[in-house]
Amino acid sequence: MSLIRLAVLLVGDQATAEDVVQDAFLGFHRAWPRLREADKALGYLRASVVNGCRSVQRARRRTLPGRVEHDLPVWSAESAVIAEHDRREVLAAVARLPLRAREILALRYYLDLPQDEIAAILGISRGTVSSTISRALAALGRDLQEEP
Amino acid sequence: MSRLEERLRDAYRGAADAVVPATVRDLGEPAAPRPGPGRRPARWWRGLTPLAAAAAVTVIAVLAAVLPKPSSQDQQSPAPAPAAAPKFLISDASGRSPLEVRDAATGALVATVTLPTEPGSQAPAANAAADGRTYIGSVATADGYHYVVSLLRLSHCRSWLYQFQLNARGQPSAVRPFAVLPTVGAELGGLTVSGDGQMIGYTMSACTSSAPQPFYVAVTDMRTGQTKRWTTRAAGSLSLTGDGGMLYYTMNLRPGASVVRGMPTSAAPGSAADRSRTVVQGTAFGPADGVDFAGISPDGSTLYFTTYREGKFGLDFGPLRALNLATVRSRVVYVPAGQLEMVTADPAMQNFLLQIPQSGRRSLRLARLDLATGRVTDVPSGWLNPPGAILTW
Repeated sequence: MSLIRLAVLLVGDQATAEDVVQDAFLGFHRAWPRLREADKALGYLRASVVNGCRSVQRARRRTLPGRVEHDLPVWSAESAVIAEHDRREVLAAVARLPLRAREILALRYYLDLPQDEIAAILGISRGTVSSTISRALAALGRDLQEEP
Repeated sequence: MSRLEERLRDAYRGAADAVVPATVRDLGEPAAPRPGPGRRPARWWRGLTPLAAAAAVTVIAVLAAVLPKPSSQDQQSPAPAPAAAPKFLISDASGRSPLEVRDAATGALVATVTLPTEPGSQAPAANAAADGRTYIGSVATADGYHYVVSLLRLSHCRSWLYQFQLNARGQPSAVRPFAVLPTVGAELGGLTVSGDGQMIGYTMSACTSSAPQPFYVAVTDMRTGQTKRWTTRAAGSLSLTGDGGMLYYTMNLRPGASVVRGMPTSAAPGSAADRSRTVVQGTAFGPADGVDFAGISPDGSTLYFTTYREGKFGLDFGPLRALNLATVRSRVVYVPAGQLEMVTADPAMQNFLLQIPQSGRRSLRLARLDLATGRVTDVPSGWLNPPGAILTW
């Protein structure tokens, strides 16, 4: 469930999130014989989910204009998933951030992962994680008119 | 932690908590294993059984440690209600008037709808079967109560459209000319209506002496009366999104060249090939596979389709698949014990009426697939003789 929830935060709708997580588990199963350290399994799955969500976002940009491609994202004004206005406002502001920043924020503030673990999942340096969080919070602060 | 970070955590938690086990699809639903050689297993489900064995023991324990505890609100969240099953179906068993209104659950005859003998006349008259020249082209509905019917007269190169509606007991209203588009100077083939009832889509072939004859896919906006048409080399099954914004149609040119294409209805008239885009290729499922039925969900997110291939004794029709247009991944949603000769979807794309030939096509099993539950319910089909009638929900 935590992986589906993470995917929902990244792609916006549950049906797509379930597909992404399903594919992640499938990939995990194929890679299982080559996975030497069992304690890396969760990290592998998280990385697969984040990568899968990124693929979805790219595919959506390539698809035909003028049609609804998926369920309304949880952060949209029309979505009934998040009833509270404040939460939706925050998520809508997050949705306006660059993709990489959204991934890092979800891993940091939803899964509470330390920065070095986020760096390992995304294959980037800890410094990049740190600076991206700072910039993302600054951008959110401006957008939401709040101190970062 | 800053207030902004607190708001961020809270917002994430709020969105994540809306995902509860009751709303997550079961891994096993609703696909079933398909027997026989040469069948490509469902890509989406492949390998899940060993996954459960190999990965679950190791991973689930780890996952459990990071799973947020379900709140009491989670536990009270109801599962989404399945779409209501259509009450009636329209049968066009003879291809001529009258149409039959049947109970969708029992197949019992509820009423008949007599169509005009003389196309274009205002009042429905005697049975058009006696006319011998007027045929029913297609029947379409957006809600299971309001119907549009196209009639065509062979070698007349003109089609006439009529409308009627059913009441809650399945009794039809008077048949009237379809006000927005009473007649078209072409032979209409497929017909579809958008979920909001504002857009009608159709295929048509113009009757000229030139070869090949021009073929079109077209839409008419019922609010404005504006018609747009696009030339195409072929078009079979067609379907509109709920808002009429996208039109999907199958195109079968030859074995190995069968596709489903999607086109915004806002596209300028012209060549459909230039305005549309391939979303499904039959060859993805076999070197000469074709696409038979295609229907788009009202929200435009999922395309349901069936495939077929040349078999020893004719065409072998494949399973019902669903393509997620956001992820561009397809999965099998239903594999019958037999073949899907004809598939009819209700306007919500939640219930599918399946015609499954039995005993070498000598008899027919009629079944309703509820996509929300994966349940398949047989519908008595003794009245469907010969098999292969066009049924409309």
